[in-house]
Amino acid sequence: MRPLWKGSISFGLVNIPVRLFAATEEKNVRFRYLHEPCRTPVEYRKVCPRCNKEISAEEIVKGYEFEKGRFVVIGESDLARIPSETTRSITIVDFVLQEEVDPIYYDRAYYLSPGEAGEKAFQLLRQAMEEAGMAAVVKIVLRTRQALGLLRVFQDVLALETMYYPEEVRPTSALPAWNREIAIHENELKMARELIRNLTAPFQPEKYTDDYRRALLEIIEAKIAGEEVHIAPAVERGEVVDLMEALKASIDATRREGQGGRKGAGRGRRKKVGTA
Amino acid sequence: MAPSLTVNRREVRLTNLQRILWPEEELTKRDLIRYYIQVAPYLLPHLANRPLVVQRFPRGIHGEGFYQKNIPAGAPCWLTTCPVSHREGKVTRYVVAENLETLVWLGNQACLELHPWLSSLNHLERPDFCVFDLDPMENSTFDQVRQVAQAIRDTLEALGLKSYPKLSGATGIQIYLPVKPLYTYDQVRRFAEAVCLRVHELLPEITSLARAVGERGGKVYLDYLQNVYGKTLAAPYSPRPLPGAPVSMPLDWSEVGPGGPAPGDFTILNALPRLERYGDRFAPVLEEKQELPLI
Repeated sequence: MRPLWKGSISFGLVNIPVRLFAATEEKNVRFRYLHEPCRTPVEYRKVCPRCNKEISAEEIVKGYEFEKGRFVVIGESDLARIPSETTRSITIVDFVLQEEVDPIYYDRAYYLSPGEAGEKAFQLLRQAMEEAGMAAVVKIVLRTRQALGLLRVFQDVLALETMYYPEEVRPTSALPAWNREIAIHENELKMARELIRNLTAPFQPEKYTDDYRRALLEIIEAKIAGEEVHIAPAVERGEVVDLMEALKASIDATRREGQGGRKGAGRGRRKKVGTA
Repeated sequence: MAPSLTVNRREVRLTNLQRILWPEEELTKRDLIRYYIQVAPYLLPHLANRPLVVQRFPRGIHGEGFYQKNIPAGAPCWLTTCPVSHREGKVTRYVVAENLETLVWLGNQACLELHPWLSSLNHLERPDFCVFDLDPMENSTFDQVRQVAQAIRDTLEALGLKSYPKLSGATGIQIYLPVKPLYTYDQVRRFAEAVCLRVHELLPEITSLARAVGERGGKVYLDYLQNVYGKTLAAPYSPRPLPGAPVSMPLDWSEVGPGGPAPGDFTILNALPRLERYGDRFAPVLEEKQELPLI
């Protein structure tokens, strides 16, 4: 595994160098879009509808649409003005009980391992957290975004869950209304409890598999085996015309060299060395 | 979809052709690949049949560069590779550049410097070049480098040996003595050391054999320690990651003198007309292998 970044946990006056790794990866089967008649992968181009032409990355700036159709442009220099003292650091704000944090806040999971010369401090923090049974609410910078996170002991490392800010979690009161005042009969409740008890099992993540993905991969394998395979036709590109011309000239030059050119001369010289 | 180039019926994908590698001259990866294609007839014979180490600069010459020995993951399956085992039991899979498609692929990988081994696949332990690497330090002029090069040529000539000079592409001159693959790296290095000692006796004022940079007194450093298993020099015609996009260029001995070609004179932009005019001046280093006198 390669670290996403190296930084430090700032814990009071102590800085613990750490490396951050993605803890999870999606295993979705990815498709590409093809143009149906010729089976060529579809390309996405950035086009300006007013200038009616394709534009390059250098011509693109970020705009914030503050009201419909009206933008302010935010450039790198503007972003540089935002104070970012927490850059690449994970600052511990509070220690809390993990059970107090509802999973609704969790976004993505990362692993932390000690960075250079940070083994002892890392181990100290991990062990102290484990003994106290506490997790830490932290502020982190991931890419350009300042995020909230929960730092917790996970097996023999520390895991970091990035979290949504409270204003990012939509309230349940915003759901469409329905009648919540239905009376439940005691017997019905008893049956439901019984059902829960019957299905109760320890949590064993290995037993859950992505059946859809497996079925899809089987179909793909079968198609490849049955050679129902479409090969993208080569696209003639103006972009490499100059290189293709150079290629042709180079191959011609090689041919010329091959006939009577350098190789012939070499053979002659070798003979001379041999008789000398 | 990234464009691709079909070379000898093999498709090489080309990515980020506009990536600037030499910012001072705004030369891009496209310029590097074009140069590799143009120079291939002259360059490929010097790479063929040898493990190749490359120096990559994905972010241009001022970005981070790294030497790459093992072929990277995702390399095309048609690459010729050769496994070399090391003492610790580790195996390195080197690329062997023996065709144009490999060269185009290397260009797309932003390989700016090509370092073939001094021995060929047929006998990896026995080099077929003895090399002298002349590097001017701060107090030396390029004329002094030329003078030292001539002294090496003369010393070798007195032993009945022909040698061939090239501009390193950076600041110095490198001299190749093609030898039959009969000797170990140790033997070749000891021979080179003897030659360098002799040249140092002839030109003590302007040469140094000191390995520590601080002890060289700013003189031309006579480096015979490149004659080591697995060590490499930039190939003839290899570009260098320096401003101006210079290339290592073989010279005729008549050009090694005052007013002759100097470092930086040949670049990826102007090398080709010279090659078309004179051909590969380094062709003899591949063909005229010599026996070393017993010394």
